[in-house]
Amino acid sequence: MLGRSAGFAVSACALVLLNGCGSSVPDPAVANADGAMPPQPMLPLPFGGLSAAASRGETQSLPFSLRDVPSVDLDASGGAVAPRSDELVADRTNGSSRVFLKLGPHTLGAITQNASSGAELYVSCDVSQPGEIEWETLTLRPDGGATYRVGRGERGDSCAVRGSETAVADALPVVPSLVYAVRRCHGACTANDPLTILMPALQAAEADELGRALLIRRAGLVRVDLPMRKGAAASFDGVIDGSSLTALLGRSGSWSSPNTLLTVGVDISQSASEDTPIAIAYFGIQKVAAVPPPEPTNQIDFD
Amino acid sequence: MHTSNHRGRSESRLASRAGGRTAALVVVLVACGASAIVLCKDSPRLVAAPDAALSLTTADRLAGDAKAAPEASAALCTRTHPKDGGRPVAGSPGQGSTLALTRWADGSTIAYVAHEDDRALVAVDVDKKIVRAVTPLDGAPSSVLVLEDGRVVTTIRDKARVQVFEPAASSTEPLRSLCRVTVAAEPVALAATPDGRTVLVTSGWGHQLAALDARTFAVRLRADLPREPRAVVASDDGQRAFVAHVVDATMSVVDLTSRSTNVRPIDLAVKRNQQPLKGCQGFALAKSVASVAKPQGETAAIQGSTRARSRAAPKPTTSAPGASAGASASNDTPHATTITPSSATPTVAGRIFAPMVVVDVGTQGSPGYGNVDRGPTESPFVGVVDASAERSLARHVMSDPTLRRAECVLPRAAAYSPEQSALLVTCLGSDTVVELDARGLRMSKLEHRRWSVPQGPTGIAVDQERSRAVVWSQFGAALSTIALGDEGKVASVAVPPRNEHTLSIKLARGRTLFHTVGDARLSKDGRACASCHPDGRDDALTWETPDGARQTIMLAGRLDGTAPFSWGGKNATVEKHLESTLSRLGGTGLHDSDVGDRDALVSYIESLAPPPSSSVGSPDRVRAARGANLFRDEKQGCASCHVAGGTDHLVHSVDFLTVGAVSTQNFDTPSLRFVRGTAPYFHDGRFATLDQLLESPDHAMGESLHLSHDDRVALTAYLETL
Repeated sequence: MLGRSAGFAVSACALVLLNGCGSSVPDPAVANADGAMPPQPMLPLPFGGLSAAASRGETQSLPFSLRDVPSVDLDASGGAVAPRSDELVADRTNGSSRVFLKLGPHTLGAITQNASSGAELYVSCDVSQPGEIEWETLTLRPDGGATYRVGRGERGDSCAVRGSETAVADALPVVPSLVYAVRRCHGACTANDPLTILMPALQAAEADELGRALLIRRAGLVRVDLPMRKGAAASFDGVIDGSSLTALLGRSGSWSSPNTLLTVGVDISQSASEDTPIAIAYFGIQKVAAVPPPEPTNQIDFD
Repeated sequence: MHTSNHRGRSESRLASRAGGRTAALVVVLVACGASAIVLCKDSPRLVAAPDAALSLTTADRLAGDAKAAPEASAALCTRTHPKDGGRPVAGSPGQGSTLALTRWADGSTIAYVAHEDDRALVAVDVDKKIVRAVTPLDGAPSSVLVLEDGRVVTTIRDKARVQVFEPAASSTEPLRSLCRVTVAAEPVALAATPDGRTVLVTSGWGHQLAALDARTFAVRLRADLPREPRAVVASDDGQRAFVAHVVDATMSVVDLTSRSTNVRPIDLAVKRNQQPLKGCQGFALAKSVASVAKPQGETAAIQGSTRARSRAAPKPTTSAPGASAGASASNDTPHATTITPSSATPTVAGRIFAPMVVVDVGTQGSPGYGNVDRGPTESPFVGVVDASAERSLARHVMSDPTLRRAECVLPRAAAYSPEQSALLVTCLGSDTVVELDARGLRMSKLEHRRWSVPQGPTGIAVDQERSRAVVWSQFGAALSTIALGDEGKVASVAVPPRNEHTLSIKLARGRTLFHTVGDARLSKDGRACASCHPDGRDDALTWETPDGARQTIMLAGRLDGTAPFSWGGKNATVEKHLESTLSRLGGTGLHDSDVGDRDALVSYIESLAPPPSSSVGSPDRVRAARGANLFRDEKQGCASCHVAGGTDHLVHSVDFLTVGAVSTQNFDTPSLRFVRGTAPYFHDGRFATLDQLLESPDHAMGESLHLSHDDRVALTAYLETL
């Protein structure tokens, strides 16, 4: 009998990288540096076929093979792709200096400094010590796929980022336009390296504070690292409201109501008798009953 | 009957307690002296003259069943005509059900059905849809298994017996009996180890696993199990047995190779939003098996597809909408698409699937049995166990506020279909078979297809070579074939019981209602009566109610002569108690306009058969006799309320400690019949065993704290004979 593994189940969103939570209606547009709003290509809906069935209240299962999940080498020297010069923007306003992660259309992302557990769309330069920063972005493509980029660099005293390197991979669309999978490894992936699930933020992002709207307001990226080993299992569930997804995709559909919740989940498990883990994703749509309006508290006085 | 002296003594004890003393509160179960087993005057079970040593009923139980069949011998249990008959269909997992499939030399498929209502094994030609032969039995068969050599093994539930048959040369002839073996009370399930050398039998009420030599049917091993074991499967190496339990979210693992009995639990409990849930309804098990190669010439029923390593959107396996309950038996599946597992996706191996339900018993102040206003209190779930590691892989469930009325909350049988990587589960109450994606850990959410079948599906077997599943519906007395390919069609054949065994219309209707899921008259959240009372007993759960925590009470065998009903004794009749219960469940009730259904349900509830007995595991007679004396002794006071192990039909104020303070509530004296099988104990289920109850100072039922350990053991031994 194999020794007992320390498998566990993640019952809710874990390692959430958000730039904030809020309920404001997002503006999906991304302004250029001069404030002009470029035309926004709308993403088609690769999961249209799925949503039709899901709209009937069915949860759909989408098994996928770990062999199809691309890997990203976090230690790749020089990166597979040269870092983009416009990805990171230094900003010094109102007495604070920050490095912002600039996100393009249909792109989610987050940046961290010195391996902090929280993640925002910016890091502070006011910290006295220079810091190692890491950022990651997920850009949704019209074909339902997505490009995942991981960047690393060192932030200097003046908010300048030096020596950045980037790794890029085509994330596997587990639930197209919603859930993607990659494996983030140091060198070649081993059997025990976790499966990384990426998806849009569970809640709408706060509107950015910059006047020039350099950032997409709804830019939160959720990343969940599900462990993989024999005798272990892990699960992840997420919920996105329809209006948030509409803002991200730039297109509305039957799911666009704020009372519509798109539920997604991923299970990864491997019994001691299985050579490779078994991975499967879930997708469903729930209609949530609208909250009734509060009882009026005012009194009507008659003359 | 209860005497004023005993009442006076109780009152003085309560008064002293009210003074704030922290003296231990003692439970007393007055030992019923053998010469004083006088039942309530209106009970139909008056037995024994005052000077009889023991009541006849008790004596019979202690002496054992003198009519027990002789143990089988090698000469009796092997085949006499080894070439006759069929063999198990290829890919059979060696697990019994209420039906077993065999393939005969002429290519026909014969299903042997354990027809419990008809008290017979019925051979049905699956392809021609005709009954070929009936083998009458002297008891009710609950499970059937065909061994590799063609012998047909069945469990006789009400006779504590396993019976072995061999087929004749023609399937039109009845089976020939070879031998019979006595086992613990209520044998319910069968399995065989992969090497074919051992047959496993679980006994429900007898809470035991027996391992029998497949050649001689001699008993090699008996293992005591937790409450209410049901389905059993053997590990792939044949060294362990995995057993499901109706109550508690647990699976038992029994080591078949060690000389000493070694039983280990596997915790199947899950959480929702970090909140732990209870579990029950563990009737079924299925284990993952490998696919079998189809014979040449057979068209492949399932298309495989390769998932391209590209950025293109993957082709999903979409599911069909759940068919509403009550659809015709010959329905197709609208909107269904074929399950097309990618050849690139690995298949499961070494897993055991345990369909069950997870339960939210509610919070303090719940309006009914659980928070019926907040959504489903019971949700279907499938435990997934890594057989090698002996641990559960599925540890949490999704939140889903949707209230669906056709949920599979009474799972009764399961089978794994490797071709579809799917688990097929029969659902009593909704009368459906659901197909779940077996690759997930939250399988109940991954329902691909659902078929309506005749009432009361209790068994299922997969015929891999013919890409179909065969289902036995006990209530509807019908055998159904489900094509597992694209068509997904269902075809059924009636297998009615012989006239003398036909259930009355009233009782048949009552049985249906007792197991119906999603009837708004019965509950708001879709629960059935059988949800809390599986097989008419109890779910071992303690529910939050307006009166506080209340444990489910067993029904079968506990109603006759035990009025009033409910923990508080508020209901004079079963009908009144039913009305109260349905109200607490949020049901609209069975009113005068439903008088037929109401009468049928009450009649069925009152007809529930008590648990059977067995000579195996009989108690120590001497010890039990001493316990009977203790029970009757006024010093303990047991018999003053639990007259002859029954009830005085009175409501008493009982003090007990709760959260460090003394509470007093009124309780109707419950009958102690079958108390050995109804753990936990007390109105709030706080005592896991009778011994814990007897030695606890936390309540004021009689006096037992002064009893020695040996006395408590004797008293417990007596109680277990009731």
